[in-house]
Amino acid sequence: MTSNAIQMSPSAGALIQIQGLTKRYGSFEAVNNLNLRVDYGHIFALLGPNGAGKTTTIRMLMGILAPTSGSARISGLDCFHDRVEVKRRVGYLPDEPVFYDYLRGSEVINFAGEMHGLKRAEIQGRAQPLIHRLELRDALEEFAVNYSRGMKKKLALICAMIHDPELLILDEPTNGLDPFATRVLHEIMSEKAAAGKTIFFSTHLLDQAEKLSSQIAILARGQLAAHGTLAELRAQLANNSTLEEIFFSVAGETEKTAGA
Amino acid sequence: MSSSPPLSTARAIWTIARLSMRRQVNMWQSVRLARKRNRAQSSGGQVRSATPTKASGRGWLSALLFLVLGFNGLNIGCQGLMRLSETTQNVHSWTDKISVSASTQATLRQAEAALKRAGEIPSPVERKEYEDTWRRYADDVLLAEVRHKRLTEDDENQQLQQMRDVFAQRGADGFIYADSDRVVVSGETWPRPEQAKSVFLRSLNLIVLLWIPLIVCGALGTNTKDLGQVEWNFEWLYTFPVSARALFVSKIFVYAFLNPLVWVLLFPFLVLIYVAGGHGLNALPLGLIALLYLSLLAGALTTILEVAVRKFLSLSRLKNMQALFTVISVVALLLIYASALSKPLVDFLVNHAVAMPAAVVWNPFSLPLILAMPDAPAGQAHVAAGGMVLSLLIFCAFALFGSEWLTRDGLIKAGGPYQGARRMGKRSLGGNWFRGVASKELLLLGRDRNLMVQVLIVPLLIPAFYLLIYSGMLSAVSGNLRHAAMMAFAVGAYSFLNSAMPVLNREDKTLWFLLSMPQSLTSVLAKKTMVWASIGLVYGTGLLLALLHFSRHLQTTSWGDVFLSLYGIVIYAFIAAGIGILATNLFETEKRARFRTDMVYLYMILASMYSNVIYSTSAWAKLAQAVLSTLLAFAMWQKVKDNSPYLLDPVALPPRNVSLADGLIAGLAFFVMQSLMVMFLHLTSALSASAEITLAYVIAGLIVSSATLLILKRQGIFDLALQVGFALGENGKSRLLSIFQGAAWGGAAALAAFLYMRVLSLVPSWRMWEKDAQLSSFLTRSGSPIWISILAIAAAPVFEEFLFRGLIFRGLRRTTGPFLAVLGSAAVFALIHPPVAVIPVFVLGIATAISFHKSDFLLASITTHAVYNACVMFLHKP
Repeated sequence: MTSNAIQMSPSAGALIQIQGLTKRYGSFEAVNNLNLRVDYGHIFALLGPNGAGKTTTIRMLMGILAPTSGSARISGLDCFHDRVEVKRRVGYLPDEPVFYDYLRGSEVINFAGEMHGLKRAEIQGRAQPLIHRLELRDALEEFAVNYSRGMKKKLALICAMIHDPELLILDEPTNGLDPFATRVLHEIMSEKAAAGKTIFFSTHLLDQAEKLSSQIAILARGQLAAHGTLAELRAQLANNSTLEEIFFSVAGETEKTAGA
Repeated sequence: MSSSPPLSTARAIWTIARLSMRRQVNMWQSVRLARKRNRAQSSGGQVRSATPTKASGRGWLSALLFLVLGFNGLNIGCQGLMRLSETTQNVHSWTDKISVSASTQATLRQAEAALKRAGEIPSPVERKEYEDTWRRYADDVLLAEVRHKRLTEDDENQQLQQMRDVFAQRGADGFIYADSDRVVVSGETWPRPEQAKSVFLRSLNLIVLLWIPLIVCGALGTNTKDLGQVEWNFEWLYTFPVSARALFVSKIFVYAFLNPLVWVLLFPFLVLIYVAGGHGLNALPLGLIALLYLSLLAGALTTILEVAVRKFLSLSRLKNMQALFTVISVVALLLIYASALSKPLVDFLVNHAVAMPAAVVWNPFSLPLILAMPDAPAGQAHVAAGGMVLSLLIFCAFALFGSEWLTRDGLIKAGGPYQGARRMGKRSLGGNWFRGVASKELLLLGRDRNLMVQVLIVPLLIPAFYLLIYSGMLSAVSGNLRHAAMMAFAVGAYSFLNSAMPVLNREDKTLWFLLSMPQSLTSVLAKKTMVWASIGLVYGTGLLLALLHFSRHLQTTSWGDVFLSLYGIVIYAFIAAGIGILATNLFETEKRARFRTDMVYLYMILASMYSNVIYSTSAWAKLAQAVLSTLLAFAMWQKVKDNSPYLLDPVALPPRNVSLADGLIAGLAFFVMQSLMVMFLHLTSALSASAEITLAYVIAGLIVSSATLLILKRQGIFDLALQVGFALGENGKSRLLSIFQGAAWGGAAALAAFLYMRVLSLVPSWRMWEKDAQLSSFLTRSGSPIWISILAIAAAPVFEEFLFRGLIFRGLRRTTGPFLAVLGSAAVFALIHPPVAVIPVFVLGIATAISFHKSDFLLASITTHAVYNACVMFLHKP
């Protein structure tokens, strides 16, 4: 098992600290002894094949699932026990957002803002530039349940960013977005990182991870197969050049050792 | 290029139909009552699967359900036909004789003959006496006859007077014997005289015309469908190389034959009609033919209606339409039931049937009825059968071609911005009164017509239905403030079944949204519940005000009952929500199985227990139960709070413990059962008051304790005996030591009781009160047999200790710590005892709680209680 080993130089302390995180369902291990840290101001990509445990890890970070053992901390707060405090600092975009049947897009945004304690004027002020950028203005007065898949993701993204969180957790963010929206999303992610926010996203689009992220972790069958920046991964594994080849070699190895 | 030949239309229809049948069978087999067990300690590993495991062997449960419903349908059909027959024969247009039962008529003949012979008695005094006796006898029999009909008082008097007049004028000839003593439909139920036969047919026609909207609207309005979206499977089927015609035919087939509930209710009714028409054993196949015919007609109608509605209406109107269908189907169902049970409605029906022209019967839906008519002219049956075939063809053709024509431009009409007409919605209301969760709930209620109908309209329909059936109920409810308060509470509590209970179930796939907010899920759910509680309160208050305003006799002499009923509505909103949250299984994808339906019955039982609060005559009992109910609401929400972090992660849930909520439910049940027992014993036995109370405690305790143990065992609590205190833990002291300690505590409590009595006896008015309250006999048991005393010492403590210390004290101790738990459990214990003994019972509660806490052994606290009872009983001298 190629475990973590490479630590970043401890700058201002890590934003996300995952230590020994394990999630077991009976005898099945969805996540096994995960150790990760994500520093402030980075864009962190979590890669892995289907069923590797990416969504389970994200759900444990959001406090939806309780870890069987180990801990996940965001800003020093435990993700499960202090989840209400954690959610103040985190914006979450799920893989397949589903919205209430009878609410318009504008009402959903207002509701999200109110739940975070913002006033109407503030909500409008923060949401308008995003709405404009994501080209959602015309559709806002329609019921959210009628949106196409990409529009639902855009709406969920606005709701995740409305309270200006210091950490954005995105589960397969560009899954279902057209190329225009994908480019806009990449721009937003880069801007946020440049402004000092942290982004943690899971994907299985390797070129996206290669282009955007500053730190990468590869999960396979619930275990950490590789961790570090692209340069470090190349150095560590010595031979391969593109992320795709690194991924296949690392994830395939774990497949083989675990499958046996 | 495909090498296999294209599917023929007939084969396509058969394949799709088979698929729908398979799907229906799968749905039936997965009906289950038990929640999927996701305990960490369950044996065998958990396989990570996306679909929940199908419960094995639960298909029989569905079968049982259908059997029960079928029996219900049979019963209603019988009653309906009998009543209709009786009423038809009663109509005065062809006979002006009053119909009475056979025995009444025989008695009247006897009386008439006897009165004729009165002239043979020589002595005038004797003759008068003789006549008076016989007149009174006839009068009694007439009175019994009228009483049998269960009318309102005014109607009763009127009928009685009418009968008396007829008897005086025409004797027994004014009465006709009607076949109303039978209970089962027979070949003679369909009246044979020409006119009556025709009227019966016309009334049946009206009833059958009620069934059609029930079937059609019921299929379209139910919750499992969303009219606003073409089902994914229909859209998916459209992508196969099969003609649209085949798809629509299969749709008609599905609607006609895969509607099991309608089948089990309608089939018995149709068979009974044929039996009534004298067809004997042929009734079964004939009824089946009629059923198939009506189902096909209804299926065709449903299909074309669905397609048309989707084609012509916009999305929001579609949802409104669905709500309208729900209302129509519910009203139709209630009217059908009422037509069997309610005399006024049947009279109304028959009167209209008389006024109707006979040609109306020849509509396509009533053709099977014409076939059923007994002694019909030969040609008529053939014409009817021919008409059936013809109308079947016409209806199906209309449905098929109509659907095809309507969808020639495409399957979906309106959609989102990228799917069709883009329509700017109305600006949302600027009102900013409620923020956050409350405003979302109210917005949803305002826009979701379906929800609105279920929450606001259906709770009013049910009492209206009952008022229709039981004509005496209206006067009872408007005459007695208690009944009115109870009705207000019942309407409010019933509305929570659809509004507060599914408060988590409604979240469904949108739970992620709430979970990403910086607010604890429990507080969000509590806010939602408060919205529903307010709405229920508005309903209850409105109903009460209406009753107060429109009734003549009602005065608010007792504001207490009114307050208790409204308070109960609020508390039960929270109890309903608590039960609902704990009963929702978020992982179940099949919508019907998400919610444990047996919890609905628990809620209804708890709600009916609240009637004790309103109807009880003792102010103490009312207060005690109201407090217990409030405590129950708190305990349920405590459990919700404990469970809420693990809602999406049941594997990590800590093992189920005996909780305060269990103890409080048992305590409530004990309280109610005990007062019921006292009433029961009072009415049926001649024991003294103290013996009654003792026996009531023991019997109630026995029933509630055994039921609680059974239920807890069924829920699989880990190590039940240890939890409850029957067995000794590892750190427990020896049993004997704890028993001795228990006895010591008992003695101390008895001492305190004596001191209390001494202090009380110093108060001068105590002597008088003591006699009034029969307190001395309560305490001394003088005059009661010895076995009552032994019961009081030995049996009652066992059950009470199990409930109050084993369950309530332990549950409290887990959350509030020992000190508060001792006080709390003692307070609840004191609440359920009569007010005069509150203080010593409270002290006893403290003593037993301490002795249980020290040893964790139930027998110790049982000893405490027994010793106390013994001391108080035998050593107290008046």
